Amino acid sequence: MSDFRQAEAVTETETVATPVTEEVEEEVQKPTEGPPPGATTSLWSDAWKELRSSPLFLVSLGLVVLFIVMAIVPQLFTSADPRACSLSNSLDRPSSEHWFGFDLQGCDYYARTIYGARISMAIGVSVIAFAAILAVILGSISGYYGGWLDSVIARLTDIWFAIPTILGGIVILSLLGERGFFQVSFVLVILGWPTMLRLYRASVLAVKEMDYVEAARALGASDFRILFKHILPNAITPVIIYAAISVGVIIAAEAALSFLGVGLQLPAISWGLMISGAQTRILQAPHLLLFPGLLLSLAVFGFILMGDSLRDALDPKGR
Amino acid sequence: MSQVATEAKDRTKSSIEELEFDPHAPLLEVEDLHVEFRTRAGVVKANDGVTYSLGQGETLAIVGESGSGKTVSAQAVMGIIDSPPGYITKGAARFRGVDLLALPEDERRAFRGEKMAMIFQDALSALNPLFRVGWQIAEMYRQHRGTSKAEARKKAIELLDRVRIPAAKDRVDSYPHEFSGGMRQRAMIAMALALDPEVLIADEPTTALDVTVQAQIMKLLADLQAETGMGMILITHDLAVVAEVTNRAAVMYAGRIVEQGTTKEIFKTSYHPYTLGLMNSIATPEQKGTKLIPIPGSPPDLLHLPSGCPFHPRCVFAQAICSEDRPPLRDLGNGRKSACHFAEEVGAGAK
Repeated sequence: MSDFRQAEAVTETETVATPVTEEVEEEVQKPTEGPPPGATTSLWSDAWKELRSSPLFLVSLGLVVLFIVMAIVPQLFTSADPRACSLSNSLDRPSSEHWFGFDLQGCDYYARTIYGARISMAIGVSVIAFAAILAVILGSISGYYGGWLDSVIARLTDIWFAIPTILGGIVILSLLGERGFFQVSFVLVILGWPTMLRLYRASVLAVKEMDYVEAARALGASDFRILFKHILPNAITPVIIYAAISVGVIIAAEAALSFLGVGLQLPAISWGLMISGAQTRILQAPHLLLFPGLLLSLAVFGFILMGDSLRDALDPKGR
Repeated sequence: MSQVATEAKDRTKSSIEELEFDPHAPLLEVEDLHVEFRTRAGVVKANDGVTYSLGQGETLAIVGESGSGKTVSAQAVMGIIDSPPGYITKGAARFRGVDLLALPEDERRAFRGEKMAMIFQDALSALNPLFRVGWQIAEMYRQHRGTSKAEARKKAIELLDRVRIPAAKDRVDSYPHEFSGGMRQRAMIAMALALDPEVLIADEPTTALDVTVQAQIMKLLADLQAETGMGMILITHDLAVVAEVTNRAAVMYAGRIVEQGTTKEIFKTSYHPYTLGLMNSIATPEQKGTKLIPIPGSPPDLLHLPSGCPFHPRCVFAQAICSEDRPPLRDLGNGRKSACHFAEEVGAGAK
C-alpha cells in the first residue's frame, strides 16, 4: 500500500507547480501561428488533440472502457450465471467451452471473473468521486480563505497521513460487523481523502493569486462564484490526473483488503475474494489465481496509464 | 443553483439602491486613507493619509514609482485588498456621499462592476484562460442582470464592437490567448464597462502594451469616457500618458500624496522636488544630445522610512528641517497642493 502514497507524492510535485495558464502563455509566444478567428482552441480541445494521437492513452482508454462496460453489462461478455454452480465441476481446468475453468464450488470462473469487475469498478469510481468532492470543498475553503480553518484542515490531513491505509483499513473494517460495498468504500474514502485535498488546496493557492481572480472580484463576483467558476476549472487538473491513477490504486486496495479477509465477504463476487480463495490451491488449481489476478492487474494498469497520459497532455512542462 | 445565485444578487442589488446617494456630493472622495500590510518583517504603511476626489467626467492621474501605494489605494477603494495581511486602518472612501469602507461586504460587492469597475495592467492574466472572451463578457450581464444567454451574447458582441475589436462577431468565441495584447486589454475594458459603471479605475492599463497600441487604448478610454461621462482614475507611471488624457494629477511617494493639482499646472510648475525630478527625467526631442537628469537614489524601504520627509535623502533641496519634520500636504492656492517645506522655492526655481 506504500505505493499508494508514492503515487501521490509524484503527482503532487509534478503537477501542482504548473497551473493551467502556463499552457496559454506558451501558445502566446507564437501568435502568428495561432488558428484563425473562428477555429478556436481551448485547453481541453488542445489536450484532446494530443491525447488522440497518443497510443498509450488509446490503450488505456480501451482498457478503461472495456472494464466499465464489463461492470455495467457483464451479460455482453458471458451468458453464464456466475451463481449457478454445480459441485460436479469443482476445480475443473479451463476448456474451450469454459475458458477460465471452474472454482471450488463448481461455478463458471469466466462468468465470475467478468462479474467481479462490477464491484471493483464501483468501489474504485465511487471512492474517488467522493474523495474528489470532499477535496474540492475542503480544499477550496482551506486554500482560498486560509486562516485558522486552513490550519485545522492542514493538521488534520497531516495526522491522517500517519495512518497506514491497509493497517487502518484492517483495524476499522474488523470493527465493523458487516462488510459490504458501503463499508469498504467508506473506509477507503476516509483513508484516502487527504491526498486529493492537499493537491487541490495547493492548486487553489496558486490559482487564487492569478489576476483574473482579482479581476473577477473587482467586477463584483461573489466568493462562491470565484471559487467554482474561476478557480475550480483552472485548479482541477492535478486532481483529475491523480483521480485517474487513484481509481486503479483503490481497486487494488479493495482487492488487498478482501484478500486479507477484512474486505468484502462472500457471497459477493470480487477479484480480491477470488484471489483469496485461490491461495490455498495455487499448485492444484493455478487458474483460480491467474485469471482474476490478470484482470485486476489490467484494470489497475489501465487507470494508471490513463492518469499518466492525461498528465502528459495537460501538463505543458512534460512535453 | 443559478436561480439561488440570481436571487442573492437581486437582494444585494436592491440593497445598494436603497443607500442614500447624494447627487451633489463628489462622485468619489477618498479622505485620509490609511492602509497597512502586517507582514512578518513589520508593518508596511502602504497608504499613509491619502486624500483625493474625483468628479463626474473627470480623469485623475495617480502617478508614482512602483511601491508608492498607487495600486493599493485603488484596491482599497474597490474593496479588494487581501486581508490579512492588508488592513484599512483609517479613512473614508465616499461614493456620492456614501462611505464605502463602512458598508458590509455584500453591499460592497454589489458596488463592484455595477458602480465601479477596474481594469488591470496585464489583460492576459486578467482574463480567465479557460473561457471564451465573449462568454466572460456575457457573464457580466447574466450574473448581475440575469439577462438571457442569447441576449447577453448579443450585448457582448455589441460591447466588443464598441471597444473597436474588429470582426467582433467572429472574435466573440475566441479564447484570451488568441487575442493580441491590445485586443485583450480592449476585451478587459469591455468587461469593465458592461454595466455602465460611474467610476472606472484603470491600473496601468497600457504598461504591458507597445507604444502604438498604448496610444490606441488611451484614445479608446478617453472616447468611452466622453461618451459615458464616467469618472476615471488612471494609475500610471507614464507621464506622457498623464499629460495627454488627464485633467488632474496626484503624485504619490512612499504611500503619501506629495503633490496635487491640475495636470496642466503640474507640468508647467512643479511644487515638489520629487515631481520636478520626474519631469526632468522625461526625454523630449529638444534634449537630443544632452543627458537626462535622473532622481538620485532609490525608492525608500517602506518598512524603514527615513525620518521627516520620506524624500529627503534623495532631494537636492533638502535642508536640516527635512530630516526632522514630515511636511503636511499644504494648500498652495489655485487648487495646488504640495507636501514640501520649500514648495514655494521649488516652484519658483522650476519657473
